[in-house]
Amino acid sequence: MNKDVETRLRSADPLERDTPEQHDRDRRWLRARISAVATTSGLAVSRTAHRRTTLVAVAAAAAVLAGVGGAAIAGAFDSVKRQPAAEAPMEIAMAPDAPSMASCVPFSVETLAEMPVAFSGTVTEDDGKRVMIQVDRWYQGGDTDQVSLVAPDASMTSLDGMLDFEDGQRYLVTAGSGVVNYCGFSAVWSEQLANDFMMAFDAN
Amino acid sequence: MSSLTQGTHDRFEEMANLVGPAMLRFARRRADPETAEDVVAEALLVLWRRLDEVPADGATPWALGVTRWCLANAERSARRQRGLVAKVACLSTSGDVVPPPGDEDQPLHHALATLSTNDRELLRLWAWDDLRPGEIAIVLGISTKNVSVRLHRAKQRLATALSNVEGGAAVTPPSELPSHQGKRTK
Repeated sequence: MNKDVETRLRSADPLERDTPEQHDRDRRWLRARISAVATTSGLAVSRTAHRRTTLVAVAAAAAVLAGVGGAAIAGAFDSVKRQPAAEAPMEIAMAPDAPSMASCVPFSVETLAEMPVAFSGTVTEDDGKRVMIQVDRWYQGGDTDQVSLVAPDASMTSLDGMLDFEDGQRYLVTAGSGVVNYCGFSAVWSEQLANDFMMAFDAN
Repeated sequence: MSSLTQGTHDRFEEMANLVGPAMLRFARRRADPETAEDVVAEALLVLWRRLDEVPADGATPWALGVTRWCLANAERSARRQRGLVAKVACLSTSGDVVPPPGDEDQPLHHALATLSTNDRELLRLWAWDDLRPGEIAIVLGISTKNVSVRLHRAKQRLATALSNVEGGAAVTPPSELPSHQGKRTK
């Protein structure tokens, strides 16, 4: 790129035309916003810290109940890792690829908060082998526009307890270890469950 | 307020004052003013919650990555709520930019519009947000080497596209350009 193109590109920055008044306005808005977050978030952070401590015990109990390897729910306690930005859909299995003896951990917002992947979205395609979900909100663990749920080989796994994903239906979904979590942690979208997701992930 | 909470409060204010201006500029370059403020407000909450995760040597690009993530969520939400699509039509973490005014460098904007969304975002992060490849890598969650290679190619493609636009060569038809690009001609 020659210098002229670079200069023109930098000059095309829409904020290049900002006036001093706009800068002042931005500074005031930021100062007020930062102060508001710092003032109002103290309680929420204290609550979250308490929740994390409690969850150590919950997770340990779940591991004993479900068996540490291969359990769908045990996977929910993986450490949270942001997926890198990508245009390709995130791929998640609808069930483990081997029979699992996982037990359900009772639903709670505290347990929900430990799910490494959580989002809401609407089913746009279902060809029997793969369910495509258009994501409208990420709560945790991803930023792709779409998630592809790969159906299990029916001969290899029990379908008991799995959700029946329907075209056009909106869902709230969680996953761990690359597998959808059920037991109430993924379900058809409802205001109640959406509120639980917002509480669990401290979303607005 | 306990000393622990006061300490967190102080650390947050220090960090937010450091990265906040870049976050707001980042959002304003990619969304209308109201949406930009909503997105930064949400990103500041994420910053508060994840204060311990902020890398000491990459706080600003880390915060821009969070802002980008919040923008993407806003865009998804807008797409879902069809009634709001017009309001945030110019909002995108990966695609369009705030519409240029009539006196803007139209050939450059037309050339930019012919590039892929990934190329455009790389060029904006580099030229507008003034980030180095290592910082862009943190924002996008990819390797620095990958950024360097892709950025180099994006610059070449922009130069070629600009040359085509100004030379009158065939470019992307207006129907494929973002609506504001097609309408705002001199």
